[in-house]
Amino acid sequence: MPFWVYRMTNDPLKAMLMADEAPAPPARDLSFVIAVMKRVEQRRLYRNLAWLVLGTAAITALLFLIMPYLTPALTAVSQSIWPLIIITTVAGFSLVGFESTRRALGLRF
Amino acid sequence: MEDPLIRRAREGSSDAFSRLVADHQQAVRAFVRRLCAQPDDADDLAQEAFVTAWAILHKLRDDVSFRTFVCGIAYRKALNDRRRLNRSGARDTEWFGLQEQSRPSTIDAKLSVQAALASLPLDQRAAISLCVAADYSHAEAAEILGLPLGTIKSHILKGRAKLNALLGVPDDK
Repeated sequence: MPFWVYRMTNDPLKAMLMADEAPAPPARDLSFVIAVMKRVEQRRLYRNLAWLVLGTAAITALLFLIMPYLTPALTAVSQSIWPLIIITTVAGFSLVGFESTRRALGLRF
Repeated sequence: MEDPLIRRAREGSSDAFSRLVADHQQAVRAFVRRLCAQPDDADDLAQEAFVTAWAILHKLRDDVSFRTFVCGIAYRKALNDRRRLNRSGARDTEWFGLQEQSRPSTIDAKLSVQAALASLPLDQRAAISLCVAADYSHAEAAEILGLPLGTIKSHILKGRAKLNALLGVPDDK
């Protein structure tokens, strides 16, 4: 841009900076948005994995501490309530499966 | 009042956050490109700034715009990068070389706009990029750079004087 063009504005330095081509990214840039969202989803995955590992470690440690006390009691009780345990387990798995399927299909009840 | 997009993004909506990125990427990238020498480095830094913004979106105050929030993150990342490079020592030579080169001793030493901007200290460059090259208010620049308003005005005055000298623009302001 010739020098006289700068002089036509009130602020020649501003005109010069704004006329500079290099810093002008496009107004719409899908590839940039996709790149950002890819990083976001990666970060979200790592964060979820970290929580999962932490939670699993905490539960494992807890079970390690309480199982020696819990096992004899569970053994005694399970002799009498095993049908209830089976029913509860099947019902629980069914509920989890139903909920997962409903979410995957986007169904609302 | 809270922007509905920001509210939804805070609740975990990827769709809302991607729309925020699409709406503000141009302003943030233009600012970051003036801070970094290479456009590819700048885009990488801008992407990192958006990802950090997503991670700490709960810290965004209602009185601060999303653009200001992300620009502030990008500026701090650029500052950290500069410090790390300076510590490594490898860039010191390059930096001092640039300083030597940018002295406006003769007309021939006139630099391109990018090179002239690169010769300014990062805080002055950021203040000039925001308030002169773009239309950010001094208050917004102060929020982005985390500096007092008076310091921003001082940076702009000093940066403007230096750029005018480097680019051969008569200082009539």
